[in-house]
Amino acid sequence: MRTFLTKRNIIILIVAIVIVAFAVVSLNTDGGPGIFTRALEGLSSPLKRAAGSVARTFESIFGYMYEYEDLVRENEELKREIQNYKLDYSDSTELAAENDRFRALFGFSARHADFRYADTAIIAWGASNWASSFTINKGYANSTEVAPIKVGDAVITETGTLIGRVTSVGRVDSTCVSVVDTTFSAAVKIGQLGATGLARGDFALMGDGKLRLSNIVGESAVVAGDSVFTSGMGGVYPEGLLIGTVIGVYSEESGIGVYAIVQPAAELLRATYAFVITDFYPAP
Amino acid sequence: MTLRNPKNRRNITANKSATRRAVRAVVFHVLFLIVVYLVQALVLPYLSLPATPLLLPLAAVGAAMGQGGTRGAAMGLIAGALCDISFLRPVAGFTLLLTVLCLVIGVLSDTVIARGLLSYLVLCLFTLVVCAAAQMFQLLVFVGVPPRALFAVAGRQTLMSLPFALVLYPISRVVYKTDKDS
Repeated sequence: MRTFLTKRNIIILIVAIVIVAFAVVSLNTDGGPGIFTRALEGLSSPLKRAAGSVARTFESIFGYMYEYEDLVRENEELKREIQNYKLDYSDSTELAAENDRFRALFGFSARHADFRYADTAIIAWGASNWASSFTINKGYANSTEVAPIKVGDAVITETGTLIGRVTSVGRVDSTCVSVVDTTFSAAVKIGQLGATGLARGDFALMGDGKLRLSNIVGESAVVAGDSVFTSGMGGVYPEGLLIGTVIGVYSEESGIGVYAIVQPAAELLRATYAFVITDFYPAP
Repeated sequence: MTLRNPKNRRNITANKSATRRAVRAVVFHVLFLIVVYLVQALVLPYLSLPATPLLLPLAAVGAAMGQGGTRGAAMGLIAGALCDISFLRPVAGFTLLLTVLCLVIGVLSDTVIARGLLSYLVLCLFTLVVCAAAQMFQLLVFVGVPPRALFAVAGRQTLMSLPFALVLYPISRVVYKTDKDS
């Protein structure tokens, strides 16, 4: 007994009694947590919150690292989709504009069923002060129409307004002169009363974007405001292509006969799209 | 000649440096001519000017004054070809004209003409007049255009082009200075 009741053993016995007493006191017969349990929960709660916070941090870091690649992949796919949608929209806009041009041409071509056309774009205007010329984007290699583009073909807008003629055909592009160039000339009909004449480029008028009407037959019938159309004589140009409008009739310098100044119907420098008449039936 | 001799090694190194500098100067001039072509063909015609200025002959004159006869003729060849392309004409007329003009100007610059702003302006004026005369010739002889109308356009073209010589001169001087140091 004396050996059992040492100082250390007594302390242990007291601690055990205290723990048993706490256990008895912590028993809660109404089902809730006891005092001891609540005390332990109170001590452990901060630890649990701290541990939970650390766990969530690691979870988010891990998730960021693991899901980042998925997010990047998804972002790239979405960007590609957006790019495809943009291209489709651009194509549809161009197709709509092209459709409008062909619809306008349809109105003109309904009256000229014999015409064959090549759809082109004007890609450059010449920088010379001595000529009025432009380049179209069709040549002998990329002109896929039944009748390919050739020298002398008329170049018109979608409404049938003559803007020039082809002077040289390259591999993928062709050079044309406009109606105000000094090398341009065409037999024309003037107004509704059957006057005829020769429309040709005049160097003095070229800078103002106009052309001259000379060799007028039936000159008394020509007045300002008359429309000038190709007559089809000689088979160079089809009949019925609008060139422009007479803005003034003047006496020739020689005093014999008159000449007229014509304002082209097409805004030449602003023209961006054109059609080349590659084939037609000449007027009888 | 052996490379053991330090003098020979120095000569070879110096020759290589001079060649590199010459090539660099030629590249600068060609790029400069291309930029001038783009301005002349794609910008100036769409401005509402009385006449479209000619810049390529002015640039070619500057190159010829700086590079001398042979290289000047080569620059004139390139400038003339670009001129013909900008006019939508076959590469022949201006190509030949500017080649000959630049050869002559280059030789004169190496021998008798002082390299300075006044000489440059006089040579530019001369070149512009010759170019206008060449452009007028076909219309005067073969088309029968009245001379008065031709001279009016020639005068407008020359007067509109000359101010650009003041802009192109310092740029040509920069390239010439690079070449002169070689």
